Formats: sequence, C-alpha cells, structure tokens
Amino acid sequence: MAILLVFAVGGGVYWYFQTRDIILPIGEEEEISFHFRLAGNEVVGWSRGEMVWRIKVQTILDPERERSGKMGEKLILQDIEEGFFYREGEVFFTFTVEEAHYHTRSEDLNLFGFRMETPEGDWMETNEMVYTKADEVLRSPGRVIGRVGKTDIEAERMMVLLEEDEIIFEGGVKMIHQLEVD
Amino acid sequence: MQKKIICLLLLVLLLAGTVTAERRVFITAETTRYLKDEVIRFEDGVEIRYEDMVVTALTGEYLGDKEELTLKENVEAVQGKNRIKSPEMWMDLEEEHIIFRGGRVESLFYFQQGEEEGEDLPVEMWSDTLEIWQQRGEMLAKGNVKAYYDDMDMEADEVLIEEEKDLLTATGNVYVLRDDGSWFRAEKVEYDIEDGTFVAYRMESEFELRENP
Repeated sequence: MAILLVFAVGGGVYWYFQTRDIILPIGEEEEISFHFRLAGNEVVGWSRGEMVWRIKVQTILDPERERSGKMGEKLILQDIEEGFFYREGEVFFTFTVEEAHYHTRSEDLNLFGFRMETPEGDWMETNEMVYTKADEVLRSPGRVIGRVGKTDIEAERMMVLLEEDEIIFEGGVKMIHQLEVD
Repeated sequence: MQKKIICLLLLVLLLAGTVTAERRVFITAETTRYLKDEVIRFEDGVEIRYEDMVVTALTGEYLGDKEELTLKENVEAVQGKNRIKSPEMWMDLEEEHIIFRGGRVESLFYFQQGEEEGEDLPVEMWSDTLEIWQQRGEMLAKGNVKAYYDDMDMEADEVLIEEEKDLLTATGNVYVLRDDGSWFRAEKVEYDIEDGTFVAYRMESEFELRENP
C-alpha cells in the first residue's frame, strides 16, 4: 500500500512537471511565458551584406512561440547594454534603450526609451524609435529633444534616413543656438 | 545715424559671430533637415529671432563649410520700425556680407534726425538688390533704385550709404524731385545725411526763382 502511495505521488509530481509551462521569472510581476532565454548576446541586423545595427543584450524573450510552436514573430530584448547603428561600416551613432522589440519577419525594430549619441557628442532622446528595414529609416512617432553642435532642438517627430545620412525634424521645430561669447 | 539700420546686420552673428549682450538665437521651422556636408535646410516656413530682430522666410539653407545662409521666398527682416522685404537673402557669415536679391527689394529705414525719440524720418527704398557689409558699415542698393525721403523722391542706378561718413551717394542717371516741384538730374549726387546738403556732379536742373516779399 505504501509502495502504491509512493508511486501515485511520484507519478503525480512527474505528470505535473511534464505538463506545466516552463516559466522563467523575469522580475516580480512577469507573466509572459516564453520558450527560451539567451544571456550575454549580441543581436545584429544586416542589410544587403552590411551590418546596419548591433545590440548588446542580456535577455531575449520569445513570448509568441508558445502559441505558434515556432519562433515568434516578435522577440523582446531586455537588459540592453548598448546599441550601435552603422553606416558604411562605421559607427553612425550609439544608443541606449530600455527595451527593444525585434520583428523576425520584417526585421524591423521598436526601440523604447531611446537615446542616441553620435561620436561628435550630439544626442537625441525620444520615447520610441522605430527602425524599418524596408526603407532603412528610423522614425520617432513622438516628440524628440536633443542637441546638435551648439544647438538645442525640439520637434514633434524625427526621421533618420540611414542610406542618405540625413536627419529630418518635423512639426514645430524649435532650435536655440548658443553663440560663442568673447 | 544709420546705426539702427545697420543693427539689422547683426544677424550675421547668427551662427558664427561673437557677442556679449544676448547669447542665443531662436530658430523655428516646420521642417528642418540636417544633410551631409554640414548642410541644414529649413522648409515650410522659418523664423529666426535675435534680440529684437526677426527674419522670416518660407525656406532656408545653411552651408556649414562655406558659412553661408540663404533664405528664400517672402523674406522679411524686421528690427523695430526698420524693415526689408525681398524674395531672397544671402549671407556670408564669415565675411559679414548680406545680399537681398531675387527681385525687387523693398526697404524702410528710419534716419534719426535728433536726440529725441519720434524725430526719425522714414526712408522708403526700392532696388533690384541691396548689399550690406557689416564690417565696413556700408549698404549698396543697385538697379532701378527709387527712394522717398523727407521732401524728395530720388531715382538712380545705384545708391551707396556709408555709415561712418553719414553719406549717401547716388550714381548713374540720378533724378531728384522735391515737393516744391524743383528737380535736378545728375551723374552723381552726394547727400550729407547729417546736415541735409547736396553735392551734385554734371547737374541739369529746373527750379522756380521767387522774389522775396
């Protein structure tokens, strides 16, 4: 009887772990179920044989794989150390970001809590920046603030045309240029 | 005397100058493009403010390597009561040289006649181009120049205003008509803005002699 009870309990425990979703806790409130977690990685975006962007990331989540059974269309990149956008093999600008969503099908990126900085010290900040691979354009759908040279800039939207090496500020652009003083 | 006029030229400080009083230039535009090779393009309306001066235009382009700024379409530069309207304005920021061009240039200046406020006399002027050299304190209006000042209308091929000398020099087909109906033509006229005297060269004139009562 005791042996039967041991087997019954053991079987129950075995069944429980076989059928339960594997959930790795990310933070206290994390509810997302995901299939794999990679640590200490670099995610790299390419276009026509050239590296366009690179993100040093600690955590990659795949919340959609549970539903589709295959790699999800959106990967969530968290604990990002630093990111880079390249142009003709050189660093165009570096960026920091709170979280990134990488769309595996379109190869687009959503960058949340975005701050970019150029090697010359120019910087820009915005809540969200979207990279679309199809046209190789970075767009901020919302307000952006920053500094270029000695000029503070504020605008309702911003676009970075990576191919053309062009930055466009749109919508009530306000610039305050600091003059040199003797 | 022309200090108020020349103050407009302080805009050359926009991106390269040195000042001590006010240290910031405010630029607003609907769209601003940072292009390659230090080119900045302003579109869909641009306004540049510096101290009490405002310059507006529909579009603008700054060439960083040449330190040149060009504003186009409905350019208007205003400082106090002084005003210049032009289809286009080009500025060499390093040389402090400005050219209003691209069509008729309409200018309204006030020459200060005395120490008191309100004694300023307006000068209205139209020309094909208006060039200003900040460092030399000179302003040159060229091409079908017409000017209205005090009691006279003036026409000439060119009008040069020199700040240091308080001198206005009109050259080429100069024609001056005064309110009393008198007129003269000359190849060249020098007008002392300070004391209101003329020196005319190769003059032809017509005026009415009146007997003293």
